[in-house]
Amino acid sequence: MAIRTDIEPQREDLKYHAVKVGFMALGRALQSASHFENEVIAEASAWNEGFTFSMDVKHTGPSLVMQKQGRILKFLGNEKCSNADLIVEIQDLETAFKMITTQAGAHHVFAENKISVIGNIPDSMRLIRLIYIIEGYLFPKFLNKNILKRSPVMTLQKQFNRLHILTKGMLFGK
Amino acid sequence: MTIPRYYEFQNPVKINAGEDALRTLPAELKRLQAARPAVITDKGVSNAGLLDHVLNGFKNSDITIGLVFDETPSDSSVTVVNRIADLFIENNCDSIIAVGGGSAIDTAKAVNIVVSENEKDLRKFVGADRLSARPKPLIVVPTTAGTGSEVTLVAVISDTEKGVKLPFTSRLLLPSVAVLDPKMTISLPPRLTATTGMDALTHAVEAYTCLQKNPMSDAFAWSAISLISNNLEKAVSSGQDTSARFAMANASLMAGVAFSNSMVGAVHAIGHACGAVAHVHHGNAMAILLPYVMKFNLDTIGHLYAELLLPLAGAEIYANTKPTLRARKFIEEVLLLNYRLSKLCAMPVKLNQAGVKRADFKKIAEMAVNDGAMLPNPKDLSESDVLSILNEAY
Ligand SMILES: [Fe+2]
Repeated sequence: MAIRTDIEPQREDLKYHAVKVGFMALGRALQSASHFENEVIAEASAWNEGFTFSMDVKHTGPSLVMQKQGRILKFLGNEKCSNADLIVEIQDLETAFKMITTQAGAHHVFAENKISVIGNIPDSMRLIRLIYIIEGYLFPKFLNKNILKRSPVMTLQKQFNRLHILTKGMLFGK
Repeated sequence: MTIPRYYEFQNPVKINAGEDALRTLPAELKRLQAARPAVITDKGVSNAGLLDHVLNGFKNSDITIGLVFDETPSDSSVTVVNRIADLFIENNCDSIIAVGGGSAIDTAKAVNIVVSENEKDLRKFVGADRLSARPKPLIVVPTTAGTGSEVTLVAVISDTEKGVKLPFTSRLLLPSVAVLDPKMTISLPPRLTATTGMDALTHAVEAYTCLQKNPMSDAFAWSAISLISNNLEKAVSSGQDTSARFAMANASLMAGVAFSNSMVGAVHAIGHACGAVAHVHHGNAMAILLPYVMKFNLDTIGHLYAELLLPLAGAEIYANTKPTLRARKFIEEVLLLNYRLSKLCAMPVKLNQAGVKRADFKKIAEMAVNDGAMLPNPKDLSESDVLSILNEAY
């Protein structure tokens, strides 16, 4: 083997973009659901106007930044917000990739010490519940059972919600 | 046993345990390059003569105790921490010896934050992994057997101005040495022995069954349960039984190592809320809630409860119980243990006996689902699930 020096870390652009798309989908779906989904409205009501959270992938990004505006949780984009009220840091891109591809749920990632939280615990518990609710809509049961402790029961109302989120929600965040 | 696809485990605390373990304090301080320790403790410890045992450990050594502070209250606050930190600096101390239960140990950890980070405002460090300065050597001598604080990376301090509890977690809070000396837990009253022992049992059970379990924490949890099963009642009924007391001190430490690495679950989440809303003593909340939360978790982690029947009830009962019934039998054994302890020392076994009112339930449930300990619990709990557990445990 030849001697090599100054080996720069490789980048996985494909994974980065996959995570970014995943975060955008999650953000738009959550924004959409905050208009009409009862559980989401109830959870979000605990946050004050302007409350901001930023879910960041450490070192590389991307981020998922959202803010409470009126009754709505507004998706603000994929740029890290370092003065957010709640910052959830995912340790690396690989972990974030596993999360958005339903290979690992938030509780699994916590159990592996691959997430850290800056902010208060009740807020982070609330955010995790919001993400669970949205994942229940985004993924069919055979996938969401890998990442949720309890798959939601899909009532007729929830079927309509899912349709709404996957169409109008994904396109316009409404 | 299944091994998780990835896990982390750490226990860097040196353990000096056994007869005259306190005599090793001077040598340990020297090893840690310290020469003027501050002793942080409470009135209960000094009045019971336990502080003298610690000071006697320094006979004929060349170490000067820079400060003894024995006014730590049972619910320590930011003000107390800052006061001790001032005294620590004024008296040129370079290390800390914590002697006591959870409160004295947590206070010592928080004092260590202030004097090491050189920052008076503790609030800046609330949360996980917010510390960066190298801590002073901290040696812990526990006088209760339950919290496991001598090996954990957590400290909780009250912010009395704002009426909230401030949690701190960081690997930098881990003590350097834990000293278990059998004479130090001998004066713990029966009721407190029972409830802190049940806290240790809950640490072990939750560590063994929750999402962050791993082969290392399992080993510690398993041995802790076996020790508790053989010694807790003896320690409650005959407090002078040094071997039972020492076994419980070991069990508590082992359960501490287990849960420090694998976290706790819903029993702690609901118990913390009972403490905050209805002021139920932590260990007592654990004793009361453990069986009912296990009943709720049964369909998800029953196979793990079934395994724990062996260390809790012994080989004979384990072998004579059908495999499909072992999980239920385990829960039943915990309930029976509670009732036996209750006979021995009038430990409450239901929430109504512990001062909880039905009117508190809603608030307890709301707080419990927002507690971080809910996350590692393998089964999801909604507020209504918590309410039904509270109803059963009432
Ligand atoms: Fe505990």
